[in-house]
Amino acid sequence: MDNLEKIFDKAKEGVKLSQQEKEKMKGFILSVTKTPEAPVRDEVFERRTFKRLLTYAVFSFSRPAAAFAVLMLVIASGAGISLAAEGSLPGDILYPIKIEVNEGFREHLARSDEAKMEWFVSVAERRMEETERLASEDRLDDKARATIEANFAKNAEKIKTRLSATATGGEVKLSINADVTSRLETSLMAHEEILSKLAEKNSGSKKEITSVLVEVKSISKSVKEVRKNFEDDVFEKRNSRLEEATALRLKASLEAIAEAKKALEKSGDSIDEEVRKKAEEMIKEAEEIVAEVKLGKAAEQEDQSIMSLKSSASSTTEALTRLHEAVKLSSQAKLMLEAQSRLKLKVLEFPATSSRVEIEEKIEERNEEELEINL
Amino acid sequence: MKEKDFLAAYEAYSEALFRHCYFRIYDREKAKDMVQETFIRTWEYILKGEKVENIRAFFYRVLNNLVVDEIRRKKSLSLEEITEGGFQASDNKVGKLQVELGAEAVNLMRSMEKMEEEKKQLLIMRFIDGLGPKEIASVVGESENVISVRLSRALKELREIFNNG
Repeated sequence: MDNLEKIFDKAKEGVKLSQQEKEKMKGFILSVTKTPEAPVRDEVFERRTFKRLLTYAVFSFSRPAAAFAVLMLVIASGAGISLAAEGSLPGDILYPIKIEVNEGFREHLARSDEAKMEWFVSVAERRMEETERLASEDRLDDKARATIEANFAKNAEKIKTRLSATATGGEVKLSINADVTSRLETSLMAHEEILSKLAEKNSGSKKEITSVLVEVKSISKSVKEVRKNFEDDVFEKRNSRLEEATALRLKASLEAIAEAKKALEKSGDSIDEEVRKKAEEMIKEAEEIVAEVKLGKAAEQEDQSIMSLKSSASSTTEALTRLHEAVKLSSQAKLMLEAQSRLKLKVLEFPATSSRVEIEEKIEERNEEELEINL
Repeated sequence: MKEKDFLAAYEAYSEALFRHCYFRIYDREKAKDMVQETFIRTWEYILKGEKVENIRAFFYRVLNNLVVDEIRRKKSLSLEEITEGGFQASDNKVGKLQVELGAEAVNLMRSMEKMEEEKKQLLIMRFIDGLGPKEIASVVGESENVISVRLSRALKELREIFNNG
């Protein structure tokens, strides 16, 4: 033991914090905790982002004027502006930076099909969050609505194009079908509910919220269709990629649960007791589903008989549907908590089907319009 | 707790916490970030009006959670990867580690890497941070006896790995 202790001591000697580093950290801690509302400046993030932003700006050949402007802006102010822009809303001075620079940049960063889809999902969520924040602050005027809607619709088109690859004979990646659509669909649905609640609460912005809702529901429907078709297809063809699909959906569930738990942690003590309890229940249910599915899979693997082969297809489809339920529960729990903390909005349940008649009617109208245009 | 008490705690424990974190994840910058985060979270907790009995134990608990999260995120940051140049040239970890700690210490760290994270945590708290079993017990939330037993087992295991590995 003496020998080891000596070595430990030696190791310890080699790792020190300089007085300068200590002071710097102290200063940062104090600055952050003194002004809790101020945006946190993460130096490492800024340094890295600055480099990437610079590269992106310089190589944006398609829009040289914009690139130059960005370059100038970035050189002048460092990535601090980019970071600060993240929290901006339509109408704020920094909003164009959020959209053009930050989002343009991140879309550029996403290379693979999955990464691009995931990014488009994020964009949809960002627009919905902006709508919700504006609505809760009574700032959702027609101009803001138009800005958000235009961007949302453009993004929805990108999503639809990627999802319709099967129509053109291509194959939508399994990971997108099994993983991303599940999360997108559940996220859209949960946001729909929040937006509806906000519309009820803020009669002032009702018209604008409803308009955005129509867009959200429209893409939500398309995504749901894709997911259902995929699940039906998997069941009928007894797809050999069943295993893979289930594994991917399991991954989606675990990620959704983790996000929900993080939201629960973040919400702290200021959250309404009812909301917190409900969220905890939902997360627990989601975890139970995941455990169930995992058990089912384990049982299947042990039982190699012919009987299990026959039932494995249907049980895996059931697993897929069950896991989608888990994703939905986690997604809803997370949004429930966020709605409470960000928007001071109390949502305790998410109805299975939204019976908002006027919205359904509006969607019908839109679909008819589109049909007419296409004819 | 007043701010000056918190700052006193910062002066007393920041370096030790940093060292602890470093020996868990072997990333100096990240370790600094995490210690920073630990203090920020603790202070925010206190500002909310919560009571903290033993602030040192609290710090170690918060830090450990951050470390565990980071490790789960990155799977495993093995010493093998670091010392065999798994990092970019701009990271001077490769050369620095040998120079700073000495070859024997690096071997000791390598041996620890082969152990479970909880055991590693105990050993680092005991032999790097210099915490006694009682203090470790308040961090981990187990009785002092349990900690003593776990510690001696962990040490035994470490010795075996170190001498035979």
